[in-house]
Amino acid sequence: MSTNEIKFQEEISNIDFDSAIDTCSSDPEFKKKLLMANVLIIPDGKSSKNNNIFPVTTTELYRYLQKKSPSQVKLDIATKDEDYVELAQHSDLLNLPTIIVSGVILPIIIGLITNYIYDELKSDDVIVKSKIIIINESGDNILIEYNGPANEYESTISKIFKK
Amino acid sequence: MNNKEAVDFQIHNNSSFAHVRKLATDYKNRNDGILQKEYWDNLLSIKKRAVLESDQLIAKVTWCFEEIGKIQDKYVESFIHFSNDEFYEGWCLLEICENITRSLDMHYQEKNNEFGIEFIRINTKKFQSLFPYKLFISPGFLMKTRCSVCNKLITPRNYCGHENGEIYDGEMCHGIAEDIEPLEVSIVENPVQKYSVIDKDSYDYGVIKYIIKKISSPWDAWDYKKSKKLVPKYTKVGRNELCPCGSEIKFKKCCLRKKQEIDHFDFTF
Repeated sequence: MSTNEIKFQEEISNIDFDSAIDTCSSDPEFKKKLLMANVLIIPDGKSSKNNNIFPVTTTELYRYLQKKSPSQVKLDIATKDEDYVELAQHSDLLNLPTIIVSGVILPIIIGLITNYIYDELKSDDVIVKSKIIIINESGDNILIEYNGPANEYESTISKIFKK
Repeated sequence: MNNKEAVDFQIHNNSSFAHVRKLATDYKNRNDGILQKEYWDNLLSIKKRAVLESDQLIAKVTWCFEEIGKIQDKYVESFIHFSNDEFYEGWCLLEICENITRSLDMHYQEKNNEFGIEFIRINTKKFQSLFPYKLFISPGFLMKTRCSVCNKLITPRNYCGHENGEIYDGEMCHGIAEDIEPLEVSIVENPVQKYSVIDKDSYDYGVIKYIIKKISSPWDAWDYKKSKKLVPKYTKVGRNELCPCGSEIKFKKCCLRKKQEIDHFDFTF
């Protein structure tokens, strides 16, 4: 993929907070705690040892969002610490974790992720891969996938607000 | 005064660093190219004292001088490898230069090329851009990570308080991978680890050989402009002549359409 190409996809998703939380742990108390979130970082899959797999940017992004989010954002991550593993891939690509977010919070999260890319990397000259599942209380849940330059991220994803 | 300004002040004004400062600024005049042992011994002694006295600023300054020394030495060593036609080895050392420079930038940036870091940064990019490497192996693996300072496992909720990239007791905090499980191998054009070149022995290093023949020192200035030119065998062919590729078709209906171009470099020394 060339550095200027953008791949942006939008499709209906059957994933929601309940289904994502259900697969991440068998602990009912832990699952109950996760249901309080309106922004949830979810794993990309399970390892052979049944750990939850996240891209290597996850810890930093989680801490950044925790530090910078306003009070209406209830952030959490769908894994216990002992089940957390990272997938390190060494191409020059910023692979962000998959996030489920309530529709009303989406503009805040997009802004924060854009700031993270710039503040932490000191660059908008990287390729970003991002998946966000938007939970619409009045309709279908939407999965948006972005794969393109960081400096086009906000403007491309924000098209979804206009719909 | 913020942290970077404090470091800058110490680097340029603290008398404890007078000797290493002189050695580091005199990079162009070293006879065998790399820094003498006394540079490293001097820094080690200052660092040990700083750590004992819990002087984190001075410990960080020694770390900055260590990184400056490594950047200078790796750059010179890469040039030596190029001079010996060991291009892949030189390429790997340039990557190390790049990585160390990136780490150093977080804590100190020279203003007037006094240590040659800016020169090395620019020349590293120039040399790398002349390499013919196109494809690289990119592994993917699962891992857990420990903090190099406190050895705690790094997880989203379990923040140990140490920042990746920050300097503690004169050493950079980083993650140490463990429980590594290889998962995949990809072939990529833009790798993070540039040393993972595919089939390094099958490339033509002619352009870099040309530069190395023309310059006598890694500190010599040179530059280039890149353009596209028609492949030489097509430059004097008339449109209605038979195509030089051997197709028996007229040039205008054959390779002229395919724009058979190669990279052309104009160098200045």
